[in-house]
Amino acid sequence: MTMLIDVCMEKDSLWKHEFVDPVQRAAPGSRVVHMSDVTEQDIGEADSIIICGTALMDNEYMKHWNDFGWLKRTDVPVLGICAGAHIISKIFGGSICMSNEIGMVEIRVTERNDLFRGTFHAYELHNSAASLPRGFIALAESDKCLQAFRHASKDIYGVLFHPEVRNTGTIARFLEKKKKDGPGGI
Amino acid sequence: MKLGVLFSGGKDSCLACHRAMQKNLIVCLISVLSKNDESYMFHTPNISLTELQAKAMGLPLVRKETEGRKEEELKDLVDAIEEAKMHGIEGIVTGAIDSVYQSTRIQRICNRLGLYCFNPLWQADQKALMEEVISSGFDAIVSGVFAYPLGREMLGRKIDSKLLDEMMENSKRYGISPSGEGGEIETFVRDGPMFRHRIRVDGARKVFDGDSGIYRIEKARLVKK
Repeated sequence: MTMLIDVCMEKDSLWKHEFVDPVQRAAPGSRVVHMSDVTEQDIGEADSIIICGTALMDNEYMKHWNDFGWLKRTDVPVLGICAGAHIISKIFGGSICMSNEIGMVEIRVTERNDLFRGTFHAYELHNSAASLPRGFIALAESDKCLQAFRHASKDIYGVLFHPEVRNTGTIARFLEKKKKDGPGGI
Repeated sequence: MKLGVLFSGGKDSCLACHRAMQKNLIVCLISVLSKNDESYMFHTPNISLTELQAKAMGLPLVRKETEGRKEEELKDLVDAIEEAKMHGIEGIVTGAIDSVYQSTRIQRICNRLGLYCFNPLWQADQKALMEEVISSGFDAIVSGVFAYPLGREMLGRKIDSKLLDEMMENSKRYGISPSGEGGEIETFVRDGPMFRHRIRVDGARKVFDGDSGIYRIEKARLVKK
């Protein structure tokens, strides 16, 4: 089963309707767990994981980097959206920098990959961007910043744009990747 | 968290307000009254009745008039939100469902003003939202029609399961949005779960011009529920 991690400030907040529910509609049958409740067992039982985004100015997740240490150990395919991409970058040694984009932005793919191709427009909602961590490959960029990256040997992806708006195909193609082994992916 | 709701008086801003009230404290409603019937941002039929709706809900209303010229109306929205800050708001709630144009502009304004922005209907399934309007006990009527084949007979009709069935059929046959998100219909809410009083319409006029029409409410008052 796919697990969606809700990183909004509070569990079951009003923002869940905006940042988690649309991802869940693009990932039917997925299960939502708030970042404060995620256990090693949840990670082990998931066959793919999506770390959802959150609102502009909600930076609460930045106080909880340590809760995402499992990212270094997991073999489960992971997609980090916006805040989720920040988290992946930070855990793998990258950094967060100021960069503001709100609205539809042109994205250019710089490296052939399974999630998107060519040039397309995507919905952005961020005041910060993530740097490319060591051991990752840059996949796409906008005029302002890095838009997508992938782990060099694992299916761990970060996208700064929000694919749940106008680009749900990105989520669908990510979901085609499932954990290759049985349960217990860490 | 104390929030203000960007309020047009239609079903979407009312449902967004209702959802927001389950999680946060709503301290005021904010309405921008556009003089332009084709405003890019602000729903127009019966917008002046938001004052009566605010009274029905027991909430203060921050009102601001705008000429409704494309980007200039956003300055009037900024003024209205700035004024709403006197109620101690930390964020704004909107009824945006799928309009990237609308949500982008409000997100930018909130970001600039240091306010959180909440869009609790964002990207939701439109049929499911209509069903929630009906099942939550909202009494909403069609106050404007702006797309073929929606005609004069639709004006003033209550949103119920029969009307939703017709909208779904029209969606299949003509590609119009079942909830009117594309501007096909506008609505006016007379009662809802957060209303302390309901609104009785004592006088209204249907104004239909070729392929669009408005249900102009001329006389309305609060009555006990």
